[in-house]
Formats: sequence, C-alpha cells, structure tokens
Amino acid sequence: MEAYRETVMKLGFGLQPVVEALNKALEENPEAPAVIHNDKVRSYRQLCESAQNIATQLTEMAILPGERLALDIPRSIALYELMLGCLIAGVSFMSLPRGFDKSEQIQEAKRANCVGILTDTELPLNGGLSLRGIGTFWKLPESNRGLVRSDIAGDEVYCVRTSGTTGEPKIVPIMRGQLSSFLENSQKALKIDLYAKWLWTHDLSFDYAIWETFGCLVHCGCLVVLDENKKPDARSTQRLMAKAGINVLSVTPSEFRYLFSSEAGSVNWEDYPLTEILFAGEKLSTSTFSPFFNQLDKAKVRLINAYGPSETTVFCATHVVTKGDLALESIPIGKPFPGIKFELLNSNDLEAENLELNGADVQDLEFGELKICGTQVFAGYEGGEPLTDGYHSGDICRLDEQGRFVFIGRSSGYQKINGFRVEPYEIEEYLQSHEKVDEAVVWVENTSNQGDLLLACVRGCRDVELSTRELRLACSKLPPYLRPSRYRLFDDKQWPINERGKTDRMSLRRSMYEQEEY
Amino acid sequence: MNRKSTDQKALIREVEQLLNETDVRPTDNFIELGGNSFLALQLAINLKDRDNIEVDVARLLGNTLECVLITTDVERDKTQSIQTICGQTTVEVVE
Repeated sequence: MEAYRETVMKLGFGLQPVVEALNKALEENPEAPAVIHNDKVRSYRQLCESAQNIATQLTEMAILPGERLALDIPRSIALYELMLGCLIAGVSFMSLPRGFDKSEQIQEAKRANCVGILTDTELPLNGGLSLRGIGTFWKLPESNRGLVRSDIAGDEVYCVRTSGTTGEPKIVPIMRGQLSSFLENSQKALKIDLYAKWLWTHDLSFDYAIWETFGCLVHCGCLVVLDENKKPDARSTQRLMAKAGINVLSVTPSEFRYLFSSEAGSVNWEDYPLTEILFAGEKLSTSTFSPFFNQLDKAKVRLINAYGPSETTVFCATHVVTKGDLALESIPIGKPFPGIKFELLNSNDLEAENLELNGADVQDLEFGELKICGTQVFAGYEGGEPLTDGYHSGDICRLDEQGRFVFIGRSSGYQKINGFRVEPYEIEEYLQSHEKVDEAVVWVENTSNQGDLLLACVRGCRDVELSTRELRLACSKLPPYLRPSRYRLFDDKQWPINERGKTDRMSLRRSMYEQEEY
Repeated sequence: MNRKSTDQKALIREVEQLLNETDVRPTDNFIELGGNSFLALQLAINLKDRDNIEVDVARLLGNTLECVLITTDVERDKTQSIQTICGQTTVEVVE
C-alpha cells in the first residue's frame, strides 16, 4: 500500500474523492478487480502500477504537465489506465470521436492545441514514439497553446467537444476542481453502493464516459468494458450485463429503447442484478421505461434521470423516478446539486426577467432558459471569452409545483417563419403531448421557392397506428403559423440515433429531402 | 367525367403533393392542414400553369377545399387582381 501512496497522491491531486477511494481500495483489498474487458482483469494494485508506468513513459516522451493529448484508442483496459496515467503526469486528455478519419483527427487535435495524438494506428506524421501496450504517440507541429503556467499546469483533467448543433463544435476544458465537485456531488446525491459493477459503454469523446469511469472509481467499483464491436448488438450487450453481473447501467433514453426493444426479445429483469439505471443526454419521457416500471420497481432498480450540459461537468442535477412520476409526460430533472444554482431566464418581454430559485420559494410556475452557476461550471470555451456570469445552457426548462425542474426542449433562439417568431421546442412539446407521439423534432426550413416551411419528424408510440393526418388535425388547435406543413413519421426502428446515443436531428432533417426526391 | 370533378381531384392532388400528405379531403381547410399563404400562392400558380385550373386564393385560405375552384365569370372578375399576381410563374419572397 505504501508503495502506491505517491501514485495515489499524484493521481488524485485536487481530486479528493479519487484519493479517498483509491486509498480505501488499496487498503482493504488491492487484488479486487478494478476493470474487466472480455477475459482480461486488472486489480486495483495492477491498475495503479500500470497508470504509474504510463505516466513515466509520457514524461519520457517530453509530454509536459499542462499539455493536452489527443486520444484515438478504443475503449479498453488500456484506455482506462491511460486516463489515470495522464492524471498522474498532469496531462489533459481529449478523446477524438471514433468515427473520424486520419485527416479529421489531425485537424481536430490541432484545433484543440494538442501536443500530439496517441493512437493505436498509423498517422501521416513524422516520428511516432511507442507507448508500450497502448499505441503510438505522434507529435504535432508546435501548437498555439504555448507553455502552460506552472501554477495551473496539471489543473486541466480533460477536454470534450460539444456536439455543435449550432455552429462549429466548441472545446470544453474541465479542471480538477470542477471534476472533484461533480464526483462529490453525484456521490452524495445518488448514494450508490460501493464495490458495485459498472458498465462502460460510451466513447470517451462523450463526457458520459467520464461518469462511467471516474464514477466507478470513486465508488471503488469494478468497471466492465463493453467492447466497441459489441455495442451495436443489443443481445450481446444484454448477455454481457447478465454474465458480468452489472449493477450500474448508464444510458441515454434512445440507447435504453434500443437495448430493450421488442427486437431483442422479451426482457427478463431477473437476469440482471441491476441496482441503478441512469438516464442522461436526452429528455427522458415516461414512455421510454413505463412498460418495465413495475418489474424494475419490484426488483428494486432505481431509475435516475440526470441532467447537465458538458459545460457543467457531465451532469449537475438528478431525479430518482417515483411511481407518481408515471402520470407525467416527461420526467423532471430534479433539483441542482449542492453548490450549483439554477436560474430560469424568462425572455417573453423585451427585458429578461430572472427568477432565482434554490428549490425552496417558488411563486410562479415560470419557464425560461436555464442559467447554471456553481462549482461544476467550466471557465469558458477554448479560445473563447472567460465565463463571468454563469452558463446559459440554451435549454428551456420550467418549474413544477413541487419545485422540481422539468426539461422542455432546446432553444434554437427563436426562428422566423414568414415573419412570425417561432420556437420549435414549443411545437415539439405540443406534439409530444399527443398520446400517440413519443418524440417530435421540428425545425424551420427556409426554401428558395416556397417560403419558410415548418417541418416535423415524429416517432410514434410503440405498436400504435398513427397517421400524419391525425397530427395535422391535432395541430389545427395551434395558431396557424405554428402548424408544421410537412410531417414524416418514423417508428422505433427507423428513428436515427447518432454516435453519442442521442436522437440524430441532422439525419432527420436530411431524411425530409430524401423523401421528396423522385 | 365532368370538368369540375377532375379539377377538384387535381386540386386535392396538388395539396397532397405540396404538403406531402396522403389523406386530404374536400372538406379540409388548407391552412388547418398546415398550409400557409406562400404555399397557397404556389398551389394557385401550379394549377393555373399546368392544368389551367383557377383557384380563389382567399377562399383557399379561409374555406374548405371544395369551395375553392373558380368556375363562373362572376367569380373570375372578383379575383382578377389575384390572378394577375398568379400570372407570374415564380413567387419572389420579399423580406
């Protein structure tokens, strides 16, 4: 245990929850499994040794504390060890999306001012250095970042790219302090048992993976890696969950529907020793899990809805689903974590009205854009202005009678249709309130010869007949300018999901064109 | 087949095409279905140019589809000004 003290201190520097968990694990049972992938296992002791080894190699490659390393490594034990090795070395990591080709990878890494790319493949760059057991480090020509100040070197833990639904994706750097807050807050709020088995299914380029990995670590858990090749196969994933005895499952609502759709056969929840299913990344509608609620409730599986933009470090509010929530359309996101403040900015009038809410005094059932302040909020985008007054999430939320926040939809900042101001999320919400509709995506298309059109893609409820005519008649109750002109219906199987496991809005928009090409 | 009913069918088909909707009925109102004034003008132009069918745009906006065809001279005179606009083959969107 003494041998690892220095390793743990360096790894967990500024990350108290990590230090505590590692010390606990190494003291109580250093041979306990820390991570499993297929038939390979690493104990906590081995994990620390590997991480230290990697840190030493990184230093030998002259990758200095405070520098950023782009990663192109598949989900594996090696990647997990690499993350921890980076922590020890004070090097920040940014995982490149797995779908990127080599030139995109190099471009992204340059844009993020990374010192180089660590990959398990070859890159068209000079002089690769080998990192034993993991891959090759390809140095990029001098970055614009310059030398990082020594007092903050090692402060940054990781960067993620935002999905960039509006404009170019931006880079979000997350510091030890923010991550530490997140780990402490999530632990206190959710009280997940220690020593559980957690499943790691998300790509590290999506910060949900930070929760899966570091969350498992601070709970002294055993991280089970879902092989990248197995992920698209729902049955294979289910089998792994049963065989490995997964207790904590983290999914997006779309992924949950995919995993447990009728395609994969009927689900016997007794096969899985689940204790928690966490939902994050998208709005959670009750219909996603309601067919299974009673069985899950009986099996004492907690369903948790987690909310938060990447800019506020993974997530910053959670809500545990109760039986009473079944009557609702969408599940609340709950109340913000300690040290986090939510404000609803109401811009119905010319002047924005701010309603300060700490969960207590709630006068009006207002709604507005959610502004987030607190210890988990980042300091600003890479190359952008420092944040001074909290983060404007672009998410429209409201407060319910019990003082819980409810997510309504994304604001695109209003759009205009033939002179009228419209907010697509309002129409989405209206459509979603229809009993036969599960999810709706609405947007404005500015055409060259037919003016502005409001378009809608709708996913109907499972096993329910729905026609576009029904939707038109339902929308006839809306003001004329809010009625979509064209609809496209999808069922579960056809609804596109992107590599982050969320509804692929861009793909939906493109599909409208395909439909019209003859 | 009398002219009015073939014209009526062409009108329904045009609405279906513009809105990408398969179930349009003569008792429907264009705007209630999700149409708008731009699409209404486009519809009138298309029917006039292609099939020489005349449509009362005002009624298209406010009445059911079965009332929209212009078949008498009286109706034609009333909508003279709109026909002039619809005489163009493209509608220019003016900001």
